[in-house]
Amino acid sequence: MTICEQLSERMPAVALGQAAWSEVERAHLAGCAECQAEWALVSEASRLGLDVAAGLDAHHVTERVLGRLRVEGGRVRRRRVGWMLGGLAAAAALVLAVWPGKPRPGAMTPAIAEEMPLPELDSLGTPELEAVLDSLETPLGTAVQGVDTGDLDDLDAHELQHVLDGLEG
Amino acid sequence: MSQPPGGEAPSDAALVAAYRSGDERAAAELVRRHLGAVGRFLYASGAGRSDVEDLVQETFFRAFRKVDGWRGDAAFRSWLFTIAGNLLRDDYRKRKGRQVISIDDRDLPDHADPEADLEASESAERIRQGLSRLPRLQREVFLLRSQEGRDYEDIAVALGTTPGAARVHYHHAVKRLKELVK
Repeated sequence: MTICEQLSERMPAVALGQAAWSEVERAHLAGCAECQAEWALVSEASRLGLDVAAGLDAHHVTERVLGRLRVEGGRVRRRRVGWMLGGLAAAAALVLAVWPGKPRPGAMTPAIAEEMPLPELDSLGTPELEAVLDSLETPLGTAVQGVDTGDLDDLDAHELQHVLDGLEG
Repeated sequence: MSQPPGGEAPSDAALVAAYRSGDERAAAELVRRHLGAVGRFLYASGAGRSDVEDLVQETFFRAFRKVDGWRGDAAFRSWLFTIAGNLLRDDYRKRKGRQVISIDDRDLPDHADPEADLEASESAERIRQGLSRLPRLQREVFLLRSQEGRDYEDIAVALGTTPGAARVHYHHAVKRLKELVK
């Protein structure tokens, strides 16, 4: 490394007061026009903008920066809550769309109904279907003529046999 | 904000950690500590005198918003300078879209306030003009060396280059500035 290169490397530190020229370096600087030009440049650059920096108000800048960060933080939190609520609402809507509801006691599920085809009813007309329905809705006991099935416990063996005969046709 | 034992000032890393855990006083201390250097860097890089405070504010806002991006490998101040440099480049691009820029203005426009510039010394202003004509890396390496006294290793980490390349950028910057400010 030449003495010019050595000075060049040390110029920023000397200009900032972090180091000092040695006697040899000082002597070289006094007689070298290239080094003098570079030293003038670096030492001037090291002071550049000091007046601008002195005019900056740290308190004002801090308040504005922190104020903006608080606003930004609130916005981010609101956005997160919004996304969370949106997600919950979407999940709830999906559950409602898919869930068939609480099954009624005794209700036949569509799956069971599909397993019990009654193709013989297809050929019947409306009055005939209504007649079938009426007979299904009629309690079995009442279909036995001439016997009161309201209280079978009171019947003796002969009467019960009569009821059974009636049911079996 | 906890003080280290012995009453020493907390390090930048300690202040950043305190800010991350919600201590706004740590952020205020970081602003106080680096405000002037960031302002000087922006001004020397070509920012107008009247724009410096807004740009400083924006630099700290971006820094705190993405403070997790500082991993402590480069000095916090050098990291702030890279944010300020990016900000200045974005600002320049926005301005470029609105006005005609001479092709001589390679990187940054000189939009300094003429009245205020009268106060600055003639040689300082020539250096500033010269700096605004340097490629970005050369300018930033030169300012990190001449205003902050950073070594090439720290500059290399901050600017995403190698110490050898940083050294070359510095010497190219000096050579070009000597020609520009003659």
